[in-house]
Amino acid sequence: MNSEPGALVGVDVGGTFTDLVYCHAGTTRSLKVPSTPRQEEGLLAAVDALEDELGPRVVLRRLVHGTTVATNAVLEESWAATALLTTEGFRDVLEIGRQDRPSLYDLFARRPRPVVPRGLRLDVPERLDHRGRVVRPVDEDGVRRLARGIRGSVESVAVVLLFSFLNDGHERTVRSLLEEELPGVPVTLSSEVLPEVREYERTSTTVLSAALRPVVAKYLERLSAGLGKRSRPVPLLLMSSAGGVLSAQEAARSPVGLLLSGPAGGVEGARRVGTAAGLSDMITLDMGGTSADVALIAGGELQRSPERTVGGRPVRLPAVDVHTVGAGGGSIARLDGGGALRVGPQSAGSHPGPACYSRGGTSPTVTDAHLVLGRLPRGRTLGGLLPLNTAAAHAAIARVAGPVGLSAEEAAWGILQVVEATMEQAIRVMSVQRGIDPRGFTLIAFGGAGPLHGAALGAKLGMHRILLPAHAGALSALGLMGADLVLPFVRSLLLPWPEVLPTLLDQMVERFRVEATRRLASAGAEGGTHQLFPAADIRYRGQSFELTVPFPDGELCAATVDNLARDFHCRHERLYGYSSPEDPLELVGLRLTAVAPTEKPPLPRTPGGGDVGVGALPPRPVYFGPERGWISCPVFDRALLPAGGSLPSPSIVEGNDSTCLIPPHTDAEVDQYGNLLLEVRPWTQ
Amino acid sequence: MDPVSLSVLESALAGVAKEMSEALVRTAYSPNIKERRDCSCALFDEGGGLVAQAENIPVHLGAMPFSVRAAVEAFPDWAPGDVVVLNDPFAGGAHLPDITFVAPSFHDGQRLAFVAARAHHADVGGMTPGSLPATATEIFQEGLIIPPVKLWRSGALNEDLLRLVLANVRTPRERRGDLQAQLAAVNTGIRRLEELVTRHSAEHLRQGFSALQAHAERTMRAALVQLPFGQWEFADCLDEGTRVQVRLQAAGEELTVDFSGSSPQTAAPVNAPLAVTASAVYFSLRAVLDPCSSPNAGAWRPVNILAPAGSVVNATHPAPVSGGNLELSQRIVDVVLGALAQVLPERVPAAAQGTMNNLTIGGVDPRTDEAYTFYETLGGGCGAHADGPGESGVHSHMTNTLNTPVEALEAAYPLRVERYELRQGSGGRGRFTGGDGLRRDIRVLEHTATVSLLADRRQGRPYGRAGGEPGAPGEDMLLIDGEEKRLLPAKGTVQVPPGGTISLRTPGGGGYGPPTE
Repeated sequence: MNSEPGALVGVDVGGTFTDLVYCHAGTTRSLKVPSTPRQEEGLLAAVDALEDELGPRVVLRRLVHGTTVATNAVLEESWAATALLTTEGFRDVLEIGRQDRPSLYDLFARRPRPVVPRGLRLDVPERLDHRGRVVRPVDEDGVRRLARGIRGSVESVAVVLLFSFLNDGHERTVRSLLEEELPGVPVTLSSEVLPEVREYERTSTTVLSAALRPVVAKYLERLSAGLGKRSRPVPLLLMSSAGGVLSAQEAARSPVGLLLSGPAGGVEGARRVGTAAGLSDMITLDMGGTSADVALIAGGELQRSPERTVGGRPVRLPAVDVHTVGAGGGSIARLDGGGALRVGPQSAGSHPGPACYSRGGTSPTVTDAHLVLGRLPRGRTLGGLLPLNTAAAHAAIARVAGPVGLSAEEAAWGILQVVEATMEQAIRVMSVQRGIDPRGFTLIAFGGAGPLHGAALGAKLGMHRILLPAHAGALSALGLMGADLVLPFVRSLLLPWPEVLPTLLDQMVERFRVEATRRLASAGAEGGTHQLFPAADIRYRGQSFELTVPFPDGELCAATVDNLARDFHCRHERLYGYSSPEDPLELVGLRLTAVAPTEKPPLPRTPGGGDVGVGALPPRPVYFGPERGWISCPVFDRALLPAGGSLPSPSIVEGNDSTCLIPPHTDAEVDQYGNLLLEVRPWTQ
Repeated sequence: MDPVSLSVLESALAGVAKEMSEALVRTAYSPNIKERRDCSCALFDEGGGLVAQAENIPVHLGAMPFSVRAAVEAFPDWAPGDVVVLNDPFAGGAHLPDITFVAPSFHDGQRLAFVAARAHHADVGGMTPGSLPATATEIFQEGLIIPPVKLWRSGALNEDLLRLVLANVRTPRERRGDLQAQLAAVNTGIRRLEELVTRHSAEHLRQGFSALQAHAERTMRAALVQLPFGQWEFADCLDEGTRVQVRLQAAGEELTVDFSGSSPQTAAPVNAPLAVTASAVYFSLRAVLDPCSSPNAGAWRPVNILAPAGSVVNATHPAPVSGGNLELSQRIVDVVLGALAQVLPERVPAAAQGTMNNLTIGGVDPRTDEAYTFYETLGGGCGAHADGPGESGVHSHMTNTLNTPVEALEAAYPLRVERYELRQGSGGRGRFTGGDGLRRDIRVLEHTATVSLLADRRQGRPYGRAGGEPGAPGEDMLLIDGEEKRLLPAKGTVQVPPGGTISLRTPGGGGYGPPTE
């Protein structure tokens, strides 16, 4: 046996559980411990549990961690006291934002509080113009005076000067002055975090990064100290928002890259499972207790968006593109003033939770509806957690059923229709609204509640193939374990097309290449194994949005530039329905993504042979709508189903993490990894 | 219709309007639509009653049904593939830059619905670039007037008509791209309705349209019946003295909004066609009563708007109207909110800045020798309210368009922004302070520029509430060498010499509660 020495590990810290997945000696397994208020304690407990399983002498070759430390700090506004130094006359850019209000009709709506209060936003006498030329040099004495004024009152400083993405000289000057005046205080430059045009988004991103540095640094120190107590060092990597991993050192330097680390792990895990099952076009639906996350994977690639908001604040760094709607198992149903049934976005969450949890919740929720309709095991435990109280669920559902004269099952069925309408729209947002037809995609439904809705949603959207992954609860950790090292680079240039010369592109790509190689090496990537994906942001002159056009890594010549222009026109035509090849172009900036592929541990396999009958549990009646009514359904224990087995339709499959529903007119099969592959037969209505 | 079908159908139809809007934004050419999203889409029943809409800015909220009504009145006969286009403020439009498309959806030869897409075009001809001339005295000076015309008949484009339109605008290529995007939007709506028919049946959709309207009507009536019987009056003015007067009369489940006593229409571009007035009324009621998440024709049945024809709130041909949509609409909101505050004091904030501060700069770029036009609107202070202070430096009420990033502005135009900050202390004092206005200083580099301003609240001040003080009025200066040289007219055009700086200071919002508390 040629098993690799040591284990690969992925750890995802969730609200309730910390999930750990590891691969050792060619076998992949998962384990689970309760999460702790201090995230590192739960993580270290999970690593302890792993050592209990494998013995203390086993080497952990790589530990990839998905953390919500940065995200929570932003949502709770518990960041470090931070100052912002900005071009004179522009200290309020952070507060003005894009001058839009968050809600069109709510006259009481507040915008999020600026991360840096006005008193710590300081004007630097200096100015560059739109080509990066100096209009007014930095007043160095002025900067020293500003620095002395905040000495002792800040833990971190951000520097954002206009047009620094074209010329970082002034920001660097300010940093060296600050380092002399404020020793020990970290200084974050916008030209390093995000050398990209548009001052508000750059300011918001840089300021968040600065404010999170001390928070994330302390967390990583505690974590490293805990891991350092082990006999052998554990190389620690963190999941970034972009769907790849970063070294702890990178993460500490630019923690803003961790802000969407959580959802990225789940989507990456779904991609791994889908890819192993031979899929390349997938839409993922992660439906938990309070919300559902939808993401799209086309051609096997995660889709990234250039900007996301976190707690209402823009973060302009590539992040896995996830659309979230308030539709979860805990979503609360109610009748509105006009007599329509509404579900969500209010949620009973996990405390008190759905009425059937018997933790004090009395509002009817999606989970209560499932229980009333026989989809969840009555009186038995859900995910090994707690017994479900059917009487409480009925009482809660009666609160919406009674006033409009519906029966319990009609009301419960109605709740599911309404919450599915919300999720259907969410999937359309990610596909149809971007000009993509979802019908050629496979729906991957996971999370606690996803596998109950996958088939119904697939049918509604014309997505006939649905995959309900095995180990749905550990999907994020699985994604983390095999994630590649990914470093995104960007630089705005704002050049008219005639000035775009191959030598210039060459120089820029080379600079990125050197930087990427150095940083990947420090993160533990083996030399020479990484790939570079350069791309150019191009637009028609006078337009305010750009398209990212990839070009090959390698020798650049005049033809490359011509090809770029041609590809831009084609892409524009495809996306927007027209192009104007005679119009002048502008190069807005260059991007490069460096990827160091890492070993992909095998997914756990499910033994084949035998009949699904081995997993049979007592059947129970399940409600399938007013036309079909109650049908006695076979029920199976997921853990006992053999690969290759076909499941009857309708049926229910109960797993550790979630319950899967196979409605009538649906073919279902267990694949070699234990996933359920569903095929909805075309409607014959 | 049962509560479940109602909710599911509402979600689906709202999705159709949203998908139309996304198609429009995605395929549009001009930044004003693509980045600032100055556009809206909606879905109507076969009689033209609003069913669902995706409005990106509130001023489109109540105005789209007027477009469909005007199109139906102009054309008794419709065929699949017909598209009516209009911008005439006196026949379904709001102001000339807003061009609206209306198209029918058919099923089995029967008309099922209408879809409409409205977008603000960056130029439709007229006296000044941007088609918002502050000195217009008649609508003919404001640009090309398009009454309801069929630009497509049974799917065939009337090329002659399109050529006529494009010959009358300053940026024909951009206009053609944006019109094409509007076509894409209405086609998206029609296609999606066909899919819904396949899934639910046309009959179910027809029933759904009326059930949704009945639902919105019930919701609005339930909200209105909470108001005590009574009358509440309020009046406020534009700086030139144009007066908007309103009397709200609540009678059980119904509300009358009577603008009698408002000024007659004037020979300045601040008049509002009825569609704009309706939008402002609906915005105010929705913001204060928040009766339902997706208002449609049903919601407005219990609301009766009385606006005397020939007055500034129901202007008639040939009054100039470009600023009715932009400026008077804000004052209409101020008076309706002011009247509502008398009966719902806790739910109404003090006045917001009450203007959009429309700024247009044009000239010849010395770097390229090409003509340029730059248009933007500026935020200001919002009113404080019972729960806290007003927001600073944001758009309020009838608009919500984004600013132009300084770095993007300077790269595109021969201008330099010298200052962009909050006007400290401009919000009205009070227990809670009004939001601060903005200051934006823009220097004209190495050429002479034509600068047009269409703004208000330069003399009048946004009112405070419950003892709070009013916000500071706006003030606009021309600076030469950093010295304040002269006050700029709030509605007018000036030539600014090379190196001159225009400094716009927008109004603060009103305060709430007595300052000494």
